[in-house]
This record gives sequence, structure tokens and C-alpha cells, in this order.
Amino acid sequence: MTESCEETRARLEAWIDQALPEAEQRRLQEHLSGCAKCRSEEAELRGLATALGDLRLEPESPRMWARIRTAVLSEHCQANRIVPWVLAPNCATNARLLNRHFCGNLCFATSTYIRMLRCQPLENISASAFPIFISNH
Amino acid sequence: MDDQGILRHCQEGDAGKFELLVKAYERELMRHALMWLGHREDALDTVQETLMKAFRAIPRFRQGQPVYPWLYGILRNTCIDAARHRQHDRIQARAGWSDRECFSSRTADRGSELWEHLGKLEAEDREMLFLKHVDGRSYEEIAALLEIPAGTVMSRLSRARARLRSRMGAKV
Repeated sequence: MTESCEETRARLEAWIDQALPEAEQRRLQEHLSGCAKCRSEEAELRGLATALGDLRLEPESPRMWARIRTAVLSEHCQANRIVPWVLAPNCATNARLLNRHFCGNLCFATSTYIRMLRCQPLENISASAFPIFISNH
Repeated sequence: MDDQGILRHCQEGDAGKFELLVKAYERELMRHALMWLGHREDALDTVQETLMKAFRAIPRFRQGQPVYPWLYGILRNTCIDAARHRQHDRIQARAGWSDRECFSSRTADRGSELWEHLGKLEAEDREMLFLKHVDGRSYEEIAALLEIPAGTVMSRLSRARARLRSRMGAKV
């Protein structure tokens, strides 16, 4: 016994989506072999699936961490009452900015010190880790 | 370190580990934001907002919960809000669904026409079609991502196809 057109139409999409059980596939194929209208419907659905499958959305890496790093670390530090350490281009700049900001919520340090000190609670930061600047504080 | 480990470290106070999660999923999130909004700058803003929301939600993340569906849920809601604001604020609205640089197709002409038609669908219909055909996910994977039954995925997908075919005049 083969399927009716109505039953076939209901199963075609599942078949094209490779989600139809094997036993049902056989019944559906039997029907399709003798029904031009359902074959036409199948061809249209397959054409649509192929056209959609040919679309590609492959954006370049959006480099999101660079966009959100400061905000993420700043929020984390505010929430945990931690002094955040943010990258500055050189030591002279660091020293100037550090002196200016250390008593506020934001400090600047070299990348080496960022790795060592990022998001450490202030009381855990050893003065020897950053002697000049810490002693200024 | 796996995703659960990253989030556990973040929950324990190592916020810098969030970078690993961002780098693991930013492209996937960007693809899905483009799918929702069809415009690169809007998508970038939305992914940024999504990641900030995710970071703030880390303390409430349940260990063992799948990570990408959690992120996708945040992205989805953010995209819905972004699309709503874009409609409400037409003066400041960006170009909307017109950014053809977002996509490519093996068949350029048909792909371009299809992209235009997709932009006119409801976002939820577009989402179903993309998750199934562009991403190549199974019903079960889509169901897990959207936290809905697989049967609902099938019916929504069928409805989305019917609407797209109707828009295209069944010329596919």
C-alpha cells in the first residue's frame, strides 16, 4: 500500500531534512514513483533547500575581546572592589597615568604587570611587584 | 580548558578567562546576529551587547548548562530588542536588511534574490530557515538551541518554508 498525496506532502519536508524513518521513506518513495504532482512538490522543496544551503555567512573575526575587554574588567573590578590594571603603551605613560589615577578606580600598567596583577584584590598586590608605583600610593 | 571550566573560573573571580569564551564563540554569534539583523554594524553592536550581558549573567549560570544555547538565548533577545528599536527609531535607523556584503552564495544571482526575500520574512521564520539550511542543524539541535520541542521545530520550519515560497512565487 502506498501513501496518499496528502500523507506524502506531510512527510516530504521531513524526508528532505533527513529526518524521516526508513520504513516511512520506502512508502514515500513508492508514492513518488507514481505521482508527478508530488515529485514536482519534492523538486521545489529540494530546490529551496539547496538555494538556502548555498548561502554562506562567514564574517571576519569581529575581535570582540578588544571591544569589550576594558568594560568587562572594569565592571568586574567595580563589582569586587578591585583595582583594575589596563594596558598603556609605555612605562612613562604608565607612571604618569598611574600617579594620576591610582587613588581612583583605574590604574595603568605594562603588559607584564597586567599578566601578574590583573584583577588581583589590592591587598594581595605586593609592593615589590610594582615598587615605584605602589610606593607612590 | 572547556567552556564549563572557563565559566567556573569566571564565577570564582578570574574575569580574564572570559576572553577564552569570547574568542570561542564570537564568530558564531556574529553569524547569527547577521542572520537576525542583516547589517554588519548592527550585528557588531548587538554581539558586543550580548557578550556584556552574558558577562553580567555569569554568576547566575548553572554549571552543566550547555554554553552556546545560553549565549544564543541572550543574543536572540538582544537582536529582537535591536530590531524593535530600529523600527521605532526610523530617523536614526541604519540601512536595515540591505547589507549584501554579509553573505555569499555559490549561485550569485539566485543567492542575492533569496537574501532579499529572506529579509522580508519575520525574523523567527528566517531564524528557522538559517538554523536548518545554512547551519545544517538537525531538528533536535535546533530544539535544544531554542529550548522548544522538536515537533515545534518541524511545524515552524514548515511554516517558514511556505512563507518563503509564497514570497518567491514558488520560483526556487
